[in-house]
This record gives sequence, structure tokens and C-alpha cells, in this order.
Amino acid sequence: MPTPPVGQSLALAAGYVIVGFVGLVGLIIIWRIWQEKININMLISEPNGDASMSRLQLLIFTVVIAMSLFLVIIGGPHGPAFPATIPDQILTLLGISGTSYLVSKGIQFSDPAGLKKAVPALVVTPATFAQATPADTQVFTAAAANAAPGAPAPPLQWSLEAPALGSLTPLPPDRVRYNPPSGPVSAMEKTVTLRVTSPGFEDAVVKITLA
Amino acid sequence: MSYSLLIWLAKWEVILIVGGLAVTIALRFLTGGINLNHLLYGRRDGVPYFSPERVQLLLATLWIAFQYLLNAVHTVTGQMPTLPNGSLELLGLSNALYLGGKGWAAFQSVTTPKKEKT
Repeated sequence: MPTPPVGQSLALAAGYVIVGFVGLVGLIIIWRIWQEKININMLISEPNGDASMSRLQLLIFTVVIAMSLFLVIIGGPHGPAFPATIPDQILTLLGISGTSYLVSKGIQFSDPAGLKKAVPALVVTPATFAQATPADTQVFTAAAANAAPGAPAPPLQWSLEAPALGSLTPLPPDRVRYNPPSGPVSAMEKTVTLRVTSPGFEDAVVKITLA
Repeated sequence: MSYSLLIWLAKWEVILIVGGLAVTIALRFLTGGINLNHLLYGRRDGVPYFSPERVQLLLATLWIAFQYLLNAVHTVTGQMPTLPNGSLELLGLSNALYLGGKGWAAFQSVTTPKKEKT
């Protein structure tokens, strides 16, 4: 049996080393993502915590073209082979997507509000309430925004700011009912402020306009 | 130790890594492990608003990606598949609309406070 040339053996050995190294790195990355040691929660998010369409588009095209390239390589008519050319259309597609992402970042940097880091905050719905009749009550619901994924619901503390006209009936875990004052109120005290607080979260404030 | 074994190993390695990453990301999207808050919303003066230009960009992106993947599955020539006719024009227009909407919202955010001060 003839022995292969030294160069051929070296190429084969190098191939095994590269395949082993790339495979090991890839599997470690996937394993660490599953272990939550690599956090991909903000994979397509902006600094302010909002998800970004241009990042999502770039991600989708990257994955789709990588998978297509792989399918083409393994499905070659004469065994696995890298395609001779990459069509201009594909390069243009990635170019449009990448340029859109960069322009989008430029627009975002032009607006200081788009760069503010997202902080955990409470959000109350409805955000305002105007009584139609003096006897109207209203139920408010609080939710945590920008909280860590999987974090438990924060404990809520509801209060009325001075002059604390009316009263509150807590409806755990996340709601409260506002009961208006029984007697008449002066024209100067038609606005009541409802506040909800929780440690580690920005307060939420609701303006209630009495009838 | 032969080339055929090396090719077999490389093929399954790519299937595991690319497929594993794709499945991981897809699962995280479905289970809320990747933040999708306000994906279809823009911000004007820091206040979120529903943004139709983001919806059309999402639909155009998914349509083009799906069509391309379909072409890739059916290719037998060993060449990268091409995009359906008009796809690039559609993508360019869609991105221009998205950027236009985003730019307009940013312009309004930057100019509105100045008007209030004067």
C-alpha cells in the first residue's frame, strides 16, 4: 500500500485540528448560552432597552445566508464544494441591511433620548383618569418595565399625595381602586396625584381629575 | 483517518453549530429570553408610538428571507441561489421608509423642546 506524500498528510492533520478547534469553540459558546453565562437577552436591543428592527433584520439575513451557503456547499453535484462565486445580489442584500443598521444608529445618536439606558420603572394603566360623575371609582394596574427577565413581580406601595382626597383599596398583587372623597371638594383641589413605588424601580404617578 | 471522514465531521459540526445557534435564538425569541419590547414601536420625545414602517420592514424582511431559503433548499447546481426579481428594490424601499420614519421622529424630538422654550 503506497504511503501518502508528507504534504497531503500534513494538510489532513491540519484539517482535523481546525475542525476540532472550531467545533469545540462553537459548542462551548452554545453551551454557555444555555447555561446563561453568555447573556443574549439584549441581542437585538438598543441602549434604551427597546428592540431594534434593523438589528433583527441583520440577524435574520445573516442566519439565512449562512444556512443557505451551508446547504449549497453540502449539496454540490460533485461532493461538498464552496460555490465558485457569491452572487452580487447577496452582497447587495447584506450591504443594504448593514447600511440601514448604520444609518439607524446615526439617527439614534442624533437624539439624546435614544441613548438613555433603560432603568427599571413602574408603569400604571390607565395613565390618567377624569371622573365623569363625583361617585366614579377607578381601578389602576401597575406593571414593571425594563425589569430583569424572570424577575419576580416587585412589591407595590400605593399612596395619594397631599391633599390626599379620597381613599385607596388595594387589590393585590398589582391593582388598586381609587375611591373619591364623599364630600364636596373646592375648585382648587380638583386634581389628585396617585403614586406607586417599589424598591429598585422608578415611581409612577397618575393624575386624577375630580368631577 | 481520511478526507471523507474529515468532510463528514465538518458537515455535522456545521449542522450542530449553525443549527444549534439558530434553534437557541428561535427558542429564546419564543420564550421571551430575547428582549422584543417595543420592536414595532418608535420613540418621539422619549414616548413610544406604534410604528407602521417597522411592521412593513418586518414583513418585507421575513418574505425575502423565506423566499431565499426556499431557493437554497431547491438548488442543485452547487451555486448560491439568487433572489426573486424585485426583492432588492423592495428591500431598499422598505428600509428607506423605515429610516425615513425613524429620522422624522428623531427630528421632531430634537426640535420640539426648542420650540417650547422660545
